Amino acid sequence: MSSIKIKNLVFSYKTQNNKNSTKNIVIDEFFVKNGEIVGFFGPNYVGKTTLLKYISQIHKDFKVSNGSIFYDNRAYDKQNNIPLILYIPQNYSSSIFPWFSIKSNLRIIMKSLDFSKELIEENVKEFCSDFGYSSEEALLKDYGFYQTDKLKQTSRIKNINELSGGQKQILTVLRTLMTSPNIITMDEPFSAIDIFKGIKFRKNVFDYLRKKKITTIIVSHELKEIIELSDKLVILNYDNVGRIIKGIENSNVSENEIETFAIKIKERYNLNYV
Amino acid sequence: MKKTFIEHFLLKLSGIFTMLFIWIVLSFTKWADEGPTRMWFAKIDEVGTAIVDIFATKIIHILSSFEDIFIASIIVLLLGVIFGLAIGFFENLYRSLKWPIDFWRSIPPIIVISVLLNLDGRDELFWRIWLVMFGALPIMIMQIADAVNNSSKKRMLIFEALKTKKMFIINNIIIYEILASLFSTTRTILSFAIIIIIVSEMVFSPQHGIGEQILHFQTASEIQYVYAYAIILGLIGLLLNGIIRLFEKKYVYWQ
Repeated sequence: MSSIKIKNLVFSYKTQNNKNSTKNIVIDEFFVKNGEIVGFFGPNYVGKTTLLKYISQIHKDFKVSNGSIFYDNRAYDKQNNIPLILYIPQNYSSSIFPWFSIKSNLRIIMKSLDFSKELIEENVKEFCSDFGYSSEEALLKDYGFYQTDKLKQTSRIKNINELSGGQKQILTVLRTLMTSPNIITMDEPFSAIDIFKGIKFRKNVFDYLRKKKITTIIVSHELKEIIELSDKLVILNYDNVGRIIKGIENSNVSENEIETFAIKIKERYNLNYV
Repeated sequence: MKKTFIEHFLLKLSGIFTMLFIWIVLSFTKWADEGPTRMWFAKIDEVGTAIVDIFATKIIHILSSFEDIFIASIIVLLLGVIFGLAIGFFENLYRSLKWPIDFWRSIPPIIVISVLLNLDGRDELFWRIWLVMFGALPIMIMQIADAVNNSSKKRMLIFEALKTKKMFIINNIIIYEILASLFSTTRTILSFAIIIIIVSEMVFSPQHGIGEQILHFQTASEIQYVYAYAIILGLIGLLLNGIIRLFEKKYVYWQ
């Protein structure tokens, strides 16, 4: 767990569609406490993903012209060590390694961090138990990573190519959680998961994040989902060049309040999709 | 409807059988025995006899050409992968060398033969390999460099943000990302090596080699041997292509 603070930050980056044009992000103030779960919400192209990448320090072309970001009250500097931040991208397919098995995919980030084999296996075991499963096999079976032949009464672990989009997304989230980072940033992490598995999986993920007090930022277009899951909601608006305009604490928010809030946002920003 | 394995196999063979059938029919017509036709057309039975004779008494020429093709391709592969990886991995190097290499690969290696003809010892293996390298190396380098360059930036970003060692990224991402490109380029390089080696054997006239033999039998008006060598070359190409495809299926199993 770690805290994140941004104050009077202005940064620009080259847009993907047109390398000659730059886009600015302006943030007055933003604070995420240790172990807090924060939701980012806002219309398309407002810069939610960009801000998430900036916080995760995974974008190369950012130019900060004012302010700074603080991790655990220390200003970010390329030379300084920052907490372990793992980013779950929106495009889950390109973050999966199709040449490795499912189990190797689950362990690849830990391996890249030079974890010993024993530590990796220990982490996997501990994670499965904290996630509510007796073993890795039980966890993978529950999310359909095993192919069962009912006639022969045999089962085998699937190849990566046999996984559906939703399963790939589950794999990406599981891989990130297993690594036990200080901060997790997620960009629409449940968008491809079906409703049947999705409800249970989301609950398990957020129970785990709260239990382990992992500081989390999640981007979603599902307002109801984001309010239910997060401790605090941050709304990004492009009226003022990506300025964060509102953050609400949403402990004990009722269904009615969510609906009222959604309608208010819809009216305030003239959004049609909320 | 889904085709069975045997149906697929028969479909693939149908083209060959059709060509053979046409050749057999033509071989037994009067037209095949006419003077002008004999200058360029070989009957199927004569070609069959020539193939048997080649394998019985002239196998050294096939082995010699095969050895040249093999050595040249291996050298191009090794150098191409090493330089391609380096150029693809370092963006500035890629940008500065892209145009010179593109210029280099636009020059047909056949042109270089005319330069080599002025050299002593031009019939040596070294020059034949050098010729293949001249033509094939820029293709190999750029294909590998492009594959590295186009490998999923998102996969790389996951590790770059974690300050993972470069060797880990090379071993766990880049090598796999370029494998598919490596196999398809290897097939191109082999075809290229076959053409260049045979042409250079025709021009430089070494003591052994299919190219030298083709030229010899063409001069002696024994056209059936030219046909026989052409068929053998085709079979060698088919065999090598099949072997590479097998490796490709085994090592690029995720595609």
